[in-house]
Amino acid sequence: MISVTAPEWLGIFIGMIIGGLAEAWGISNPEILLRLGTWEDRLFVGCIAIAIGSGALALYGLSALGVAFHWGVKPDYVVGVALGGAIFGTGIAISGYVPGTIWMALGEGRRDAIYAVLGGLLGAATWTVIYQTAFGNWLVTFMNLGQIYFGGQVGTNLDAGFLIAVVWAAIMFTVAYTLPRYKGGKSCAYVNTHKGYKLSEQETARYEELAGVLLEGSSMPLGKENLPEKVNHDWSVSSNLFGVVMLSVGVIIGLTVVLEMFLHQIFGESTTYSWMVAQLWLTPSAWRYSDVVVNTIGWEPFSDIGTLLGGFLASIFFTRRFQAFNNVIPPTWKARFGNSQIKRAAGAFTGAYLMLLGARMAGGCASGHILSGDLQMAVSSLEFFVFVMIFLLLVARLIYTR
Amino acid sequence: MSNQNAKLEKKEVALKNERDVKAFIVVMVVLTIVVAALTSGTYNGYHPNPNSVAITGFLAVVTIVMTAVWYREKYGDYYYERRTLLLVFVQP
Repeated sequence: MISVTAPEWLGIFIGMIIGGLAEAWGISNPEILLRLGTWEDRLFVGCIAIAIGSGALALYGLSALGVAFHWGVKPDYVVGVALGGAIFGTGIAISGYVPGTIWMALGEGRRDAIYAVLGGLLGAATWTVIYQTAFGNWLVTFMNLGQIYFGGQVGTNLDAGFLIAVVWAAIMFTVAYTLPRYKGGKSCAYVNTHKGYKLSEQETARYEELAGVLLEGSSMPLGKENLPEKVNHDWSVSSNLFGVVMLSVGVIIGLTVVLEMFLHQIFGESTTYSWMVAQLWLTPSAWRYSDVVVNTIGWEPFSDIGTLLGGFLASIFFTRRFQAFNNVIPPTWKARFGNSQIKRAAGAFTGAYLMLLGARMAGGCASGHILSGDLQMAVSSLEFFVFVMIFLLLVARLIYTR
Repeated sequence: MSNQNAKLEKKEVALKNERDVKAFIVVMVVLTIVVAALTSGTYNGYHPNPNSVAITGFLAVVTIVMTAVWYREKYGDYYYERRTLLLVFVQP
């Protein structure tokens, strides 16, 4: 059995890889997740599906060959995970952020990310308080099925787990291949099976519009005929997720998560908010949840700093989207609520508050549950993802489609 | 169905020499990682040292803020303005 437990500070590099690549994708821009909510741009679903599929194959393939992993599968307490997912999805619909993209956005110099961090800390603190109550205890113990994945209890039936991972990966790749990125657009399957297919005038306009959204508020000119221009105008806006660059980024993110599980633990982003609350305010001596968090968090605070630095470095060297804290309002938010900075700050704060409350209630977020957990084929993470998507789509429709 | 795009052209701003700020960023990021390594050492457990995390995070935030100040100074509060695309759909 091959087993490794790496020093904590190395987590910075894992965070930098994922933060940098996700920033280049454009997911740190809240407009991308708001458009996911309105079902206009499904980039997040396609990219995560590629990462999950490739990561699941690597994880269960290596496990079957005798490589040991730090699994950390999230337990499935059915009601708490469902309620947490519903609150989390609602928070994304309001803020346009998930916990990890807040750090990336802060690295990108986005002003509203500052308010999102503050709201996130308050949301995490709220769960620390609720956890102490009878209701909080009921949420994490009622119908608690334990750490289970599609093949049974975690760490068991690994040979069968690999076969299930093959099927799971096939489903994930099929989703990414057949789901059109843009509303009314063409899927990768359509583009790759129609030789000589050319972008319509409308699709070209959509690409150009999204490139403008990604670059809006940048404090640095883009320049011409350089790498950042290619990233912003060709790669990040492309609907072909199975192009060399987009596919490589998805696969690398999936394999990086597997590498992290080999080295130390699963990839997560939201526990750090609870950890900061425990260090600054609700101390472990008085609050049970803080005690749990400070003794189990591992290198996540370092990998979160890495995510911040990854987003920052990518926005300077590869995408030139560094905003230097200019005032930027996401277009979908602006169309609904206007150009008020105060309203946007309140939205980022409130949305992040709900999101972190939901994430801590469910025991994970977009990174811990949706990326790492679904890659592990954890039952709790699939449940979480379903509830997040239902409430994200529902609440975004209620708010923005008027 | 056809569409018509009305584009508001913006003034192009020329790139300036950014070698000094990029060197600063690289040095600071390396320093941040070195500080994290020195302050947390070979510890590989699950209870991180809050002082180590705090100094590492502080250096990262200082780097970002100073970079923001530099770019605002260098390009005179440049702001990339999105071109407004007006899509007009005409029923046949």
